[in-house]
Amino acid sequence: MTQSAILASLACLLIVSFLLAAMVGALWLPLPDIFLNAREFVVERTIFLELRVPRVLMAGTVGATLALAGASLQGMFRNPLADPGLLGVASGAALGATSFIVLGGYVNFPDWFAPYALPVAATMGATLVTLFLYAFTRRQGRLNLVTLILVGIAINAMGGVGLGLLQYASDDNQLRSLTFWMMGSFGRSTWDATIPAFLVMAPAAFFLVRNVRTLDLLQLGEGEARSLGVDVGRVRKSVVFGVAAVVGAGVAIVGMIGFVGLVVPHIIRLLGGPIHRYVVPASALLGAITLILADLLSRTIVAPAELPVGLVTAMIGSPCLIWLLLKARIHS
Amino acid sequence: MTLSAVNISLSIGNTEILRHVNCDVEPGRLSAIVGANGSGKSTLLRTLSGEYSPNQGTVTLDSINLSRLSPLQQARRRAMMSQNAPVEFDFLVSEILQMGWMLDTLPIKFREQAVSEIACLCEIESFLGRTFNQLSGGEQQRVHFARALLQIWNPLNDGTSRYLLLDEPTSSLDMAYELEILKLTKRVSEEGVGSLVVLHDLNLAARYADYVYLLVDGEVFCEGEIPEVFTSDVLTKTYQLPISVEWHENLNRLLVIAN
Repeated sequence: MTQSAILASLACLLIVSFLLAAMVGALWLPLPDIFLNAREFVVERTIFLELRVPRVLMAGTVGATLALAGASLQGMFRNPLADPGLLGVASGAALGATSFIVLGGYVNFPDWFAPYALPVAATMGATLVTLFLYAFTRRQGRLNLVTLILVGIAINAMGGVGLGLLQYASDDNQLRSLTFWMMGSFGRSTWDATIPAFLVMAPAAFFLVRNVRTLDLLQLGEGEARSLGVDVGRVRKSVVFGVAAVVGAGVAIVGMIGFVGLVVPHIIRLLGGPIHRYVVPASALLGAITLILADLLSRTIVAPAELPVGLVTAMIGSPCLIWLLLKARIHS
Repeated sequence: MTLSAVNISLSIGNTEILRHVNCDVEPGRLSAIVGANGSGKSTLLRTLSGEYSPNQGTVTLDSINLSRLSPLQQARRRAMMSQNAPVEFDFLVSEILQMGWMLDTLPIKFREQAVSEIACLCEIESFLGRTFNQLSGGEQQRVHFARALLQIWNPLNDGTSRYLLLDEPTSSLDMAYELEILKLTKRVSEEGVGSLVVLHDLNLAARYADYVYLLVDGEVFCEGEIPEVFTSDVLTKTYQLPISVEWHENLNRLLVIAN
C-alpha cells in the first residue's frame, strides 16, 4: 500500500471509530434518530452532546498527540525506542500535576487561570525532564540505547520518590483527589475540561507537525543536518517544548497512558517506511483511533463500571511491543 | 569569490585544535587537506562548513561572514559530506538522496532530472530502490557523495559559486571507487565548484589535488601546489618517517613512498 493510501484508510477508520465510540456505551445512542426525532430523544441528545462527544474528542486528541510526541522524540533522538513514558517525560508531568494537587492550595490563582493550572503544572514537569534528557544526550554525543533507557528508568524512579513524598505529605482530601487523578480516565472530559486541554495541545501539535522535513534530515546526524540547512537548535527547542506540552496536558487529564507513543509510530513505520512527512500524520491518526477504541473498551468491558484507560493501552500495548522487538531481532 | 578561513583559531574544551589557520577554497580548484592523525584536518573542514564557530578569526563565504548567513542560506551554496553518517531507520536510497534538497534548495522542476543524472554519474542507479542500511559501507559512502552533489547541483547556472567539502570521502571504498569519487570531484571542480577534500592517502592527493594544505598540530605547516609541498624533506618532517617522493615518468605524476 502506498503512503497516501495508508493515510486515507486511517482517516476513514478514524471517522468510523469516532461514530462507533459516540454511539456505543452504557446507553446505546441511535445516532440519526437523536437528531431527526429530537423531541423523543432529549436525554440521549444531551448525553451525546455533553458527555460522549467531548469524551471521544478528548480521547482522540490525547491519542493523536501522544503518538505525535512519540514519533517526534524517536525522530529527534534517532532512536525507535524513545517514548514519553519510557524516557520519564510522562513521569515528570505526573510529578508536576501531583505537586499542583497537593501544594496548589497554598497559592492563589486568578479565576480565569484555574482550569489551566493543572495542565500547566504537568507541562512544566514534563519540560524539565525533556530538557534534562536533551542536555544529557548532548553531553554524551549520540547516546546509545541502553544508556537512554537507564536514564529513563532513573528519572521514573526519582519521579516515584517525589510522588511518594507528596502522597505522604498530603491530607485526606488531597489524597482522595490524588488517587482519583492517578487512576486516570476520560470520564471527566466535559467541555469545561476539554477546551483548555485542547488549547494547550493544538499549538504544541502544530509545532511538532511543522518539523516533519527537518526530522528526516536529522537522521543523518546533527552536523550533517546543519550542513543541509537545518537550524538544529530551533528544531530541538520546538520538539522539546511541543512534546512536553502535549504530554503534560495529556497526563493532567487522564493520568499516565503508556505505549501509545512507542508502539503506534513503530507500526506506522512498518506499514509505510520511515519518512516523517508520512510517519508523523499517520501516527497521529492511528494514535487517535487507538485511544478512542481503548476508551470505548474501558467503559464497556465491565459496564457500568470503568477500567482505567491506561490499563487497557498497557494490556494491548505490551504484547505488541514484545512482538515488535522479537520481529526486529529476527529481522536483524 | 571564495570560501575562506581567515586567521582562525579554535579550542574545544582546553585543547587548542586550530591555530591561526588561513585557508581558501576557490571555485574551479580541488584543494586537499593532508596531515597526520589529530592534526586538525576534520575540524578545519567543519569550521569552514559552519558547524564549529572559530574562537578567533572569521570564516567568509564570498566575503560575507558565515555567522551572518542562516543554515539554509549556507546549505544552498555549500555541501558537506562527513566521515560516516549512520542512519537508524530503514530509509530507501532514493529518500536519502532526496534529503539533498529537502529544504527546497533545488526548484521542484529540476529534481527528477537531478536525481537521475547524479545517480547515473555516481553509478548508484541500481540501488535507488533498496534500503540504505542494506548497502555495504562503501556503497553508503557513494550514496552520501551523490547526496552532497545533489545539494549543490546548479542547473540554472545562476552565477553563484558552490562549494563541496568532503571529509575522507574514500575511507570505505575499494581502489576503483576511490579513484572514481576523486575523478568526479575533479570533474565538478573543473566545472566551477570549489572543492576541499580531507585525504589520508598522499598519492591520491598528489594525483588529483590542484592545491594542498599540510597541517601539523593545528597549524598550516606548508601550502601550495603539489610539487612545492610534497617534497621528501617536508613529508619526512611531518610524518616523522623516512618518506621519498619520486617523479614517475610513465605515469607522469609524483609518487610518495614511505620507506
